[in-house]
Order: sequence, then structure tokens, then C-alpha cells
Amino acid sequence: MFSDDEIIKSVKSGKTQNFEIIINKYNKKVLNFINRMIFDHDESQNISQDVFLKVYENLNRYKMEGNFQAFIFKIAKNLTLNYIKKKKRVLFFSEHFSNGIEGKYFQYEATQYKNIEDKIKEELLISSIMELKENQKIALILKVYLDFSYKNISKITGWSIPKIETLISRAKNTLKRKIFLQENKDKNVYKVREK
Amino acid sequence: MKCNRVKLLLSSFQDNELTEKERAEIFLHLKKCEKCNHELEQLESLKKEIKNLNEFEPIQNFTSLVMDKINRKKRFNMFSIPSLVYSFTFILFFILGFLINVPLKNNVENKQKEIYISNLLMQGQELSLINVQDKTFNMLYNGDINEK
Repeated sequence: MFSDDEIIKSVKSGKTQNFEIIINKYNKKVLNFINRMIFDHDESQNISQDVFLKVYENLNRYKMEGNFQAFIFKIAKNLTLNYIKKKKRVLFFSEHFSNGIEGKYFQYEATQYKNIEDKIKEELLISSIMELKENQKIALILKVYLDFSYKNISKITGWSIPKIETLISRAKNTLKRKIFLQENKDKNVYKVREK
Repeated sequence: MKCNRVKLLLSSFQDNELTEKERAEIFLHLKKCEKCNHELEQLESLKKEIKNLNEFEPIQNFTSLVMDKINRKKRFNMFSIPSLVYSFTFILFFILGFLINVPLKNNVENKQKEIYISNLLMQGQELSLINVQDKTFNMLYNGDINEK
């Protein structure tokens, strides 16, 4: 197996086909990272294709520092944020200037579940993640889903490590409050009914 | 270490981003404090749930689609540098054309004026309304009043 840097070197020297190796290696991670940010299956397929296109175009900016993954996710993060901004702007206009469209920001394709309880749980988690601030969302997903260290996240986002620490901690606490409070409320209702 | 401080550091503790000393202190605290233990449990189950969210597979021809786009871009790039040159030359010609056109156009207008005036004078002379001498023509054509 060649390292990322070796592959990139060969791509830069003219063997464009070798870029396929990079795509195959990272496309699933990039796709699911984006999908966890926007929860829109089709759009995340499109954006992740654009990510690799952009990575290829910007290969000259990569300085062979043995951290190509950070380089890819930096671009993925930027493109996703651009998409979210654009989508919010469009929705802002469609909400304010036409009456028929409902103001639902993002649509999430329901997938198959074993039981309804899991489905409700997952929907609650997704809606809570969607309500997080973008910065918190990015830091949380990079840490929890992709298992990046704070140092790596700092390379991807350009934020300081204490800032990342705070963002992740706040995001976790917000989610925890929403999810577990919700569960407690449900339990209370059951308790009252049992009596 | 007090609960408040532990609560603040718990997220970083879970992410394995604390110093050895801090980790040891939190371990000690967790052994005693049930409340903080419960918090950590919730954090762990949250992490599990986020990790367990549905993972999607990329569409089947993902790689070939991207490679197609890259190759198309590459071909486009080969033209993109000369096209800059083309556009500059076009703009240059446009500006040059404009600069050349202005005096030309003025010349034509002057010629037309001359013909119009000379016709007028001829007509006047034919109808014997005015008496035109050679000097007048000279003056009109050359704008030279001093010749008088």
C-alpha cells in the first residue's frame, strides 16, 4: 500500500488515474460526514462529488505534510457550509415572498427501522443535531463520527484547540439535555398513567 | 475536584484529550460520585447513537463520475489560458477600432457639410440671390479669413 502523499505525488506528476485510489478510499467517509451535516441524501452525493473535484483542482496547495485527510475534510467542510448558506438564503426568500411553501429547512429521508421506538429516537437525535449551531455541528461530527483528534480538527477548521473543546462540550451537553430530558418526560407520562 | 469542574471536563475526558494528571483526578472523582458517573454514561450513549446513525454508500459510479468531471475540466483548462489572450486581443481591437473610427467619422461629416454648403451657394448663385466670388469659396473651404 502506498501512502496518500505518494499517491498525490504520482497524480501531480501526471498520472491522473491514480486519483481514483484517493476517491475510493475516502468517498464514503466524506459522503456520510456531509450527510450528517445536512441530512439530505441526494444533495450529499452531489456535494461529495464536488469535494473531490475541488480537491483535485487544489492539489497544488497541499504541502505533502502526511495529513491528506485533513486537506480533504477542510474542503468538504467549506463546501457543506456554502451549501447550507445558499439553502438558507433560498428558503428565506421562498418563505417571505410566497405563501405556499412550508418552512421546513431540510428533509431527511426516512430509512428502514426495526421498530418505531428506534425511529422516534433517531428522529429526535437528528432534529437535535440539526438545531445545533454550524460550528458546534462541525466539531462534534468530526470528533464523534470521524474520531479526529482535537489537533486534527484544529487543522481542518483553523480554530484553536480550547475553542474546539468548548464547542464539542457544548454540543454534547445540548444534545444530552434534549434527548434525555425528552426520555424522562415520556417516562413521567407512563408513570402517571400506571398509577 | 468538584462536580462542577468535572462536568466541564467530562467531554474532553470522554474524547481522551486531557493530561494524565487531569485524567487521574477525574477517575478518582468518578469512583466516588454517582451523579457524574451518570453524566458520563449519558455522554457515552449519546456518542454511540451518533455513531450508529445510518451510513450511506456512495452511488455505484461515484468514482467514474468524478474522474469524468476531472478529465473534462482538464481539457477545458487547456483552452482557458489562450482564451484569456483571445479576450484581451478582442478588447484591444475594440478599443483601437473605436479610436480609429472617431477621426474617420469626423472627416466624413465634414465632407458632407462642405458639399451641402457648396451646393447651397451654387443654388444661390444660379438664382442670382447672392454673388459668390472665388475668395468666398476659398474662405469657406479653408476657413482662412486672413486671405481676405
